[in-house]
Amino acid sequence: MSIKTKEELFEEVYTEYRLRIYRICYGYIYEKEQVEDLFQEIMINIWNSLDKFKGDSSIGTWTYKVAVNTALLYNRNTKQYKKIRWAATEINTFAAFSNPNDKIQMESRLNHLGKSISELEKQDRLIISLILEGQTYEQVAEIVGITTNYVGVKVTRIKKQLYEFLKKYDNE
Amino acid sequence: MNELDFLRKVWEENTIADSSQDAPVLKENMSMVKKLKSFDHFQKVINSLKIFIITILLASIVISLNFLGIDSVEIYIGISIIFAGTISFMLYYLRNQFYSSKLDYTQSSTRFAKDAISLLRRQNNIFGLPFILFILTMIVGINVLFLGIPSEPQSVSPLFMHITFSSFIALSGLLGYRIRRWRIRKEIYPLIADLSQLENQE
Repeated sequence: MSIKTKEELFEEVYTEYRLRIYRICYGYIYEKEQVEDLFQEIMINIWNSLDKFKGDSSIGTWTYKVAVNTALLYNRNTKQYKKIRWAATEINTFAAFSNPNDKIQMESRLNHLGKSISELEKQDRLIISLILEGQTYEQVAEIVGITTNYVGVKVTRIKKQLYEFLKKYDNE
Repeated sequence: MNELDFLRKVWEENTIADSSQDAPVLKENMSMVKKLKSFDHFQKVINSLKIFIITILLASIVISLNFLGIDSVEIYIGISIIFAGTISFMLYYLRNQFYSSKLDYTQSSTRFAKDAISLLRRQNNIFGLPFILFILTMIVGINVLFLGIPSEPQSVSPLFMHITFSSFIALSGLLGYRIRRWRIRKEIYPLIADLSQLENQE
Protein backbone atom coordinates (compact mmCIF):
# COMPACT_ATOMS: atom_id res chain seq x y z
CA MET A 1 0.00 0.00 0.00
CA SER A 2 1.42 3.38 -0.97
CA ILE A 3 1.92 5.96 1.74
CA LYS A 4 -0.60 8.25 0.06
CA THR A 5 -3.29 5.54 0.04
CA LYS A 6 -2.47 4.77 3.67
CA GLU A 7 -2.82 8.41 4.65
CA GLU A 8 -6.12 8.73 2.79
CA LEU A 9 -7.48 5.57 4.40
CA PHE A 10 -6.37 6.74 7.81
CA GLU A 11 -8.05 10.07 7.29
CA GLU A 12 -11.24 8.28 6.37
CA VAL A 13 -11.09 6.13 9.50
CA TYR A 14 -10.21 9.07 11.69
CA THR A 15 -12.96 11.30 10.34
CA GLU A 16 -15.67 8.64 10.35
CA TYR A 17 -14.83 6.65 13.44
CA ARG A 18 -12.90 8.75 15.95
CA LEU A 19 -15.99 9.65 17.94
CA ARG A 20 -17.24 6.07 17.92
CA ILE A 21 -13.83 4.83 19.02
CA TYR A 22 -13.81 7.44 21.75
CA ARG A 23 -17.15 6.10 23.00
CA ILE A 24 -15.84 2.53 22.92
CA CYS A 25 -12.91 3.72 25.05
CA TYR A 26 -15.33 5.33 27.51
CA GLY A 27 -17.40 2.18 27.60
CA TYR A 28 -14.29 0.30 28.61
CA ILE A 29 -12.39 2.65 30.88
CA TYR A 30 -13.60 5.83 32.50
CA GLU A 31 -10.76 8.04 33.47
CA LYS A 32 -10.36 10.85 30.96
CA GLU A 33 -6.58 10.68 30.79
CA GLN A 34 -6.63 6.93 30.34
CA VAL A 35 -9.33 7.17 27.71
CA GLU A 36 -7.13 9.52 25.75
CA ASP A 37 -4.17 7.17 26.15
CA LEU A 38 -6.23 4.24 24.96
CA PHE A 39 -7.60 6.29 22.06
CA GLN A 40 -4.10 7.23 20.96
CA GLU A 41 -2.94 3.64 21.24
CA ILE A 42 -5.85 2.52 19.08
CA MET A 43 -4.99 5.16 16.49
CA ILE A 44 -1.36 4.04 16.45
CA ASN A 45 -2.43 0.42 15.99
CA ILE A 46 -4.83 1.41 13.23
CA TRP A 47 -2.04 3.28 11.46
CA ASN A 48 0.40 0.39 11.88
CA SER A 49 -2.17 -2.18 10.74
CA LEU A 50 -3.50 -0.32 7.72
CA ASP A 51 -1.16 -2.23 5.39
CA LYS A 52 -3.07 -5.37 6.38
CA PHE A 53 -6.43 -3.95 5.35
CA LYS A 54 -7.45 -5.94 2.29
CA GLY A 55 -11.07 -4.91 2.13
CA ASP A 56 -12.39 -8.37 3.11
CA SER A 57 -14.58 -6.74 5.72
CA SER A 58 -15.89 -3.19 5.86
CA ILE A 59 -13.51 -0.52 7.08
CA GLY A 60 -15.85 0.00 10.07
CA THR A 61 -15.71 -3.63 11.21
CA TRP A 62 -11.96 -3.66 10.62
CA THR A 63 -11.55 -0.50 12.71
CA TYR A 64 -13.63 -1.91 15.56
CA LYS A 65 -11.53 -5.08 15.55
CA VAL A 66 -8.35 -3.06 16.07
CA ALA A 67 -10.06 -0.91 18.72
CA VAL A 68 -11.46 -3.88 20.68
CA ASN A 69 -8.19 -5.83 20.55
CA THR A 70 -6.20 -2.80 21.67
CA ALA A 71 -8.59 -2.27 24.56
CA LEU A 72 -8.26 -5.92 25.61
CA LEU A 73 -4.50 -5.52 26.04
CA TYR A 74 -4.60 -1.98 27.34
CA ASN A 75 -4.50 -2.49 31.09
CA ARG A 76 -1.25 -4.42 30.79
CA ASN A 77 0.64 -1.16 30.56
CA THR A 78 -1.58 0.73 32.94
CA LYS A 79 0.06 0.25 36.28
CA GLN A 80 -2.30 2.58 38.06
CA TYR A 81 -5.41 1.27 36.41
CA LYS A 82 -8.46 2.14 38.42
CA LYS A 83 -12.07 2.22 37.62
CA ILE A 84 -13.41 5.72 37.94
CA ARG A 85 -17.06 6.44 37.60
CA TRP A 86 -18.27 8.25 34.58
CA ALA A 87 -18.20 11.91 35.39
CA ALA A 88 -20.55 12.86 32.61
CA THR A 89 -21.34 16.22 34.12
CA GLU A 90 -17.71 17.20 33.80
CA ILE A 91 -17.08 16.00 30.35
CA ASN A 92 -20.32 16.19 28.47
CA THR A 93 -21.63 19.30 26.90
CA PHE A 94 -25.06 18.27 25.60
CA ALA A 95 -25.11 21.43 23.63
CA ALA A 96 -28.08 20.22 21.64
CA PHE A 97 -30.40 20.52 24.61
CA SER A 98 -31.94 23.94 24.94
CA ASN A 99 -34.18 22.90 27.80
CA PRO A 100 -32.09 22.60 31.02
CA ASN A 101 -34.37 19.87 32.38
CA ASP A 102 -33.84 17.71 29.31
CA LYS A 103 -30.13 18.28 29.58
CA ILE A 104 -30.03 17.27 33.26
CA GLN A 105 -32.16 14.22 32.58
CA MET A 106 -29.93 13.11 29.73
CA GLU A 107 -26.78 13.72 31.75
CA SER A 108 -28.18 11.70 34.60
CA ARG A 109 -29.20 8.90 32.24
CA LEU A 110 -25.76 8.86 30.66
CA ASN A 111 -24.15 8.77 34.07
CA HIS A 112 -26.29 5.82 35.06
CA LEU A 113 -25.51 4.07 31.81
CA GLY A 114 -21.79 4.61 32.34
CA LYS A 115 -21.97 3.34 35.92
CA SER A 116 -23.97 0.33 34.84
CA ILE A 117 -21.58 -0.56 32.02
CA SER A 118 -18.69 -0.26 34.46
CA GLU A 119 -20.25 -3.05 36.53
CA LEU A 120 -20.02 -5.47 33.62
CA GLU A 121 -17.19 -7.87 32.74
CA LYS A 122 -14.50 -6.34 30.50
CA GLN A 123 -15.49 -8.26 27.40
CA ASP A 124 -19.16 -7.57 28.03
CA ARG A 125 -18.43 -3.84 28.23
CA LEU A 126 -16.94 -4.00 24.75
CA ILE A 127 -19.81 -6.06 23.35
CA ILE A 128 -22.51 -3.77 24.70
CA SER A 129 -20.55 -0.73 23.49
CA LEU A 130 -20.51 -2.21 19.99
CA ILE A 131 -24.24 -2.95 20.20
CA LEU A 132 -24.92 0.60 21.41
CA GLU A 133 -22.86 1.85 18.48
CA GLY A 134 -25.40 0.16 16.26
CA GLN A 135 -23.39 -2.88 15.25
CA THR A 136 -25.46 -5.92 14.28
CA TYR A 137 -25.03 -9.33 15.94
CA GLU A 138 -23.29 -10.54 12.77
CA GLN A 139 -20.83 -7.65 12.88
CA VAL A 140 -20.14 -8.18 16.59
CA ALA A 141 -19.64 -11.90 15.90
CA GLU A 142 -17.08 -11.07 13.24
CA ILE A 143 -15.26 -8.60 15.49
CA VAL A 144 -15.15 -10.84 18.54
CA GLY A 145 -14.80 -14.13 16.67
CA ILE A 146 -17.75 -16.00 18.16
CA THR A 147 -20.94 -17.28 16.54
CA THR A 148 -23.87 -14.97 15.91
CA ASN A 149 -26.06 -17.15 18.12
CA TYR A 150 -23.59 -16.85 20.95
CA VAL A 151 -23.55 -13.06 20.53
CA GLY A 152 -27.34 -13.17 20.87
CA VAL A 153 -27.10 -15.21 24.05
CA LYS A 154 -24.47 -12.89 25.48
CA VAL A 155 -26.33 -9.71 24.56
CA THR A 156 -29.51 -11.00 26.18
CA ARG A 157 -27.59 -11.70 29.36
CA ILE A 158 -25.72 -8.38 29.24
CA LYS A 159 -28.95 -6.42 28.66
CA LYS A 160 -30.57 -8.15 31.61
CA GLN A 161 -27.63 -7.23 33.85
CA LEU A 162 -27.51 -3.71 32.46
CA TYR A 163 -31.21 -3.06 33.10
CA GLU A 164 -30.86 -4.33 36.64
CA PHE A 165 -27.97 -1.96 37.28
CA LEU A 166 -29.82 0.91 35.63
CA LYS A 167 -32.85 0.24 37.79
CA LYS A 168 -30.65 0.25 40.87
CA TYR A 169 -29.08 3.60 39.94
CA ASP A 170 -32.44 5.11 38.92
CA ASN A 171 -33.82 4.28 42.37
CA GLU A 172 -30.89 5.79 44.21
CA MET B 1 -38.89 3.12 21.39
CA ASN B 2 -37.64 0.09 23.32
CA GLU B 3 -35.18 0.30 26.20
CA LEU B 4 -32.14 -0.57 24.09
CA ASP B 5 -33.00 2.02 21.45
CA PHE B 6 -33.33 4.58 24.19
CA LEU B 7 -29.95 3.61 25.65
CA ARG B 8 -28.47 3.83 22.18
CA LYS B 9 -29.84 7.35 21.88
CA VAL B 10 -28.33 8.25 25.26
CA TRP B 11 -25.07 6.61 24.27
CA GLU B 12 -24.86 8.55 21.03
CA GLU B 13 -25.40 11.80 22.86
CA ASN B 14 -22.04 11.17 24.44
CA THR B 15 -20.04 13.52 22.29
CA ILE B 16 -17.66 14.25 25.14
CA ALA B 17 -14.21 13.40 24.47
CA ASP B 18 -14.26 14.81 21.02
CA SER B 19 -13.02 18.04 22.44
CA SER B 20 -11.70 19.01 19.06
CA GLN B 21 -15.02 18.81 17.30
CA ASP B 22 -14.94 22.44 16.33
CA ALA B 23 -11.42 22.29 14.96
CA PRO B 24 -10.85 21.79 11.27
CA VAL B 25 -10.90 18.01 10.91
CA LEU B 26 -8.46 17.74 8.05
CA LYS B 27 -5.78 19.75 9.80
CA GLU B 28 -6.20 17.57 12.85
CA ASN B 29 -5.98 14.40 10.79
CA MET B 30 -2.73 15.50 9.26
CA SER B 31 -1.29 16.29 12.63
CA MET B 32 -2.24 12.80 13.82
CA VAL B 33 -0.61 11.23 10.74
CA LYS B 34 2.49 13.27 11.47
CA LYS B 35 2.54 12.03 15.07
CA LEU B 36 2.13 8.43 13.90
CA LYS B 37 4.94 8.78 11.42
CA SER B 38 7.23 10.17 14.08
CA PHE B 39 6.24 7.28 16.36
CA ASP B 40 7.24 4.78 13.64
CA HIS B 41 10.49 6.66 13.20
CA PHE B 42 11.14 6.63 16.96
CA GLN B 43 10.70 2.85 17.12
CA LYS B 44 13.17 2.40 14.25
CA VAL B 45 15.68 4.70 15.95
CA ILE B 46 15.41 2.74 19.21
CA ASN B 47 16.00 -0.60 17.43
CA SER B 48 18.99 0.82 15.55
CA LEU B 49 20.36 2.17 18.82
CA LYS B 50 20.20 -1.28 20.45
CA ILE B 51 22.15 -2.83 17.57
CA PHE B 52 24.66 0.03 17.70
CA ILE B 53 25.28 -0.41 21.46
CA ILE B 54 25.81 -4.18 21.12
CA THR B 55 28.25 -3.60 18.25
CA ILE B 56 30.18 -0.98 20.25
CA LEU B 57 30.40 -3.32 23.26
CA LEU B 58 31.70 -6.13 21.07
CA ALA B 59 34.28 -3.89 19.43
CA SER B 60 35.42 -2.30 22.70
CA ILE B 61 36.06 -5.69 24.33
CA VAL B 62 38.15 -6.87 21.38
CA ILE B 63 40.09 -3.56 21.27
CA SER B 64 40.67 -3.57 25.06
CA LEU B 65 42.06 -7.11 24.99
CA ASN B 66 44.45 -6.19 22.19
CA PHE B 67 45.45 -2.96 23.93
CA LEU B 68 46.19 -4.68 27.29
CA GLY B 69 48.27 -7.30 25.52
CA ILE B 70 46.54 -10.11 27.41
CA ASP B 71 47.70 -13.42 26.11
CA SER B 72 46.20 -15.76 28.69
CA VAL B 73 44.05 -18.44 27.11
CA GLU B 74 41.85 -18.70 30.23
CA ILE B 75 40.97 -15.01 30.08
CA TYR B 76 40.05 -15.27 26.42
CA ILE B 77 37.98 -18.39 27.08
CA GLY B 78 36.31 -16.78 30.13
CA ILE B 79 35.43 -13.62 28.22
CA SER B 80 34.24 -15.67 25.26
CA ILE B 81 31.94 -17.69 27.53
CA ILE B 82 30.53 -14.52 29.15
CA PHE B 83 30.16 -12.86 25.80
CA ALA B 84 28.54 -15.84 24.07
CA GLY B 85 26.22 -16.33 27.04
CA THR B 86 25.16 -12.68 27.10
CA ILE B 87 24.62 -12.46 23.35
CA SER B 88 22.68 -15.76 23.25
CA PHE B 89 20.48 -14.74 26.15
CA MET B 90 19.89 -11.26 24.74
CA LEU B 91 18.94 -12.67 21.34
CA TYR B 92 16.61 -15.18 22.99
CA TYR B 93 15.20 -12.42 25.19
CA LEU B 94 14.59 -10.01 22.30
CA ARG B 95 13.06 -12.77 20.18
CA ASN B 96 10.65 -13.86 22.89
CA GLN B 97 9.97 -10.56 24.55
CA PHE B 98 6.37 -9.45 24.34
CA TYR B 99 5.93 -6.56 21.98
CA SER B 100 2.36 -5.56 21.34
CA SER B 101 3.45 -4.62 17.81
CA LYS B 102 4.08 -8.33 17.12
CA LEU B 103 0.33 -8.95 17.33
CA ASP B 104 -2.11 -8.74 14.48
CA TYR B 105 -4.80 -6.36 15.72
CA THR B 106 -6.95 -6.93 12.66
CA GLN B 107 -7.93 -10.47 13.69
CA SER B 108 -11.06 -11.40 15.57
CA SER B 109 -10.72 -10.97 19.35
CA THR B 110 -10.71 -14.69 20.11
CA ARG B 111 -7.88 -15.33 17.63
CA PHE B 112 -6.11 -12.22 18.91
CA ALA B 113 -6.43 -13.44 22.52
CA LYS B 114 -4.97 -16.84 21.56
CA ASP B 115 -1.93 -15.22 19.92
CA ALA B 116 -1.45 -12.73 22.76
CA ILE B 117 -1.55 -15.54 25.35
CA SER B 118 1.00 -17.53 23.36
CA LEU B 119 3.35 -14.52 23.18
CA LEU B 120 2.90 -13.74 26.87
CA ARG B 121 3.69 -17.34 27.81
CA ARG B 122 6.77 -17.29 25.62
CA GLN B 123 7.90 -14.17 27.42
CA ASN B 124 7.25 -15.76 30.82
CA ASN B 125 9.39 -18.74 29.82
CA ILE B 126 12.45 -16.49 29.35
CA PHE B 127 12.73 -16.28 33.11
CA GLY B 128 12.79 -20.02 33.57
CA LEU B 129 15.48 -22.38 32.30
CA PRO B 130 17.09 -19.91 29.81
CA PHE B 131 17.69 -17.38 32.57
CA ILE B 132 19.13 -20.02 34.92
CA LEU B 133 21.45 -21.22 32.12
CA PHE B 134 22.50 -17.62 31.49
CA ILE B 135 23.45 -17.12 35.14
CA LEU B 136 25.33 -20.44 35.23
CA THR B 137 27.20 -19.43 32.07
CA MET B 138 28.19 -16.14 33.71
CA ILE B 139 29.47 -17.98 36.80
CA VAL B 140 31.47 -20.45 34.70
CA GLY B 141 32.83 -17.62 32.51
CA ILE B 142 33.96 -15.46 35.42
CA ASN B 143 35.63 -18.42 37.16
CA VAL B 144 37.50 -19.44 34.02
CA LEU B 145 38.55 -15.80 33.57
CA PHE B 146 39.99 -15.68 37.11
CA LEU B 147 42.03 -18.80 36.43
CA GLY B 148 43.99 -16.75 33.87
CA ILE B 149 44.80 -13.89 36.23
CA PRO B 150 48.25 -14.39 37.75
CA SER B 151 47.94 -14.51 41.58
CA GLU B 152 50.32 -12.42 43.64
CA PRO B 153 51.37 -13.42 47.16
CA GLN B 154 49.92 -10.30 48.84
CA SER B 155 46.59 -10.35 47.07
CA VAL B 156 43.44 -12.05 48.33
CA SER B 157 43.27 -15.79 47.85
CA PRO B 158 41.98 -16.95 44.44
CA LEU B 159 39.44 -19.18 46.17
CA PHE B 160 37.97 -16.17 47.94
CA MET B 161 37.68 -14.33 44.60
CA HIS B 162 35.98 -17.33 42.99
CA ILE B 163 33.49 -17.67 45.82
CA THR B 164 32.80 -13.93 46.10
CA PHE B 165 32.16 -13.34 42.42
CA SER B 166 30.21 -16.56 41.96
CA SER B 167 28.00 -15.68 44.93
CA PHE B 168 27.53 -12.13 43.69
CA ILE B 169 26.39 -13.29 40.26
CA ALA B 170 24.17 -16.01 41.74
CA LEU B 171 22.52 -13.59 44.18
CA SER B 172 22.04 -10.91 41.51
CA GLY B 173 20.49 -13.54 39.26
CA LEU B 174 18.22 -14.76 42.05
CA LEU B 175 17.11 -11.20 42.81
CA GLY B 176 16.43 -10.48 39.13
CA TYR B 177 14.58 -13.77 38.82
CA ARG B 178 12.37 -13.08 41.85
CA ILE B 179 11.56 -9.53 40.75
CA ARG B 180 10.64 -10.76 37.31
CA ARG B 181 8.47 -13.61 38.65
CA TRP B 182 6.73 -11.14 40.97
CA ARG B 183 5.96 -8.86 38.01
CA ILE B 184 4.73 -11.80 35.98
CA ARG B 185 2.37 -12.83 38.79
CA LYS B 186 1.16 -9.25 39.27
CA GLU B 187 0.86 -8.09 35.66
CA ILE B 188 0.91 -10.99 33.24
CA TYR B 189 -1.13 -13.72 34.93
CA PRO B 190 -4.24 -11.52 35.38
CA LEU B 191 -4.02 -10.49 31.73
CA ILE B 192 -3.68 -14.10 30.60
CA ALA B 193 -6.68 -14.99 32.78
CA ASP B 194 -8.74 -12.22 31.13
CA LEU B 195 -7.70 -13.20 27.65
CA SER B 196 -8.30 -16.89 28.35
CA GLN B 197 -11.98 -16.18 28.91
CA LEU B 198 -12.15 -14.87 25.37
CA GLU B 199 -9.98 -17.60 23.90
CA ASN B 200 -12.26 -20.28 25.31
CA GLN B 201 -15.28 -18.85 23.55
CA GLU B 202 -14.01 -19.56 20.06
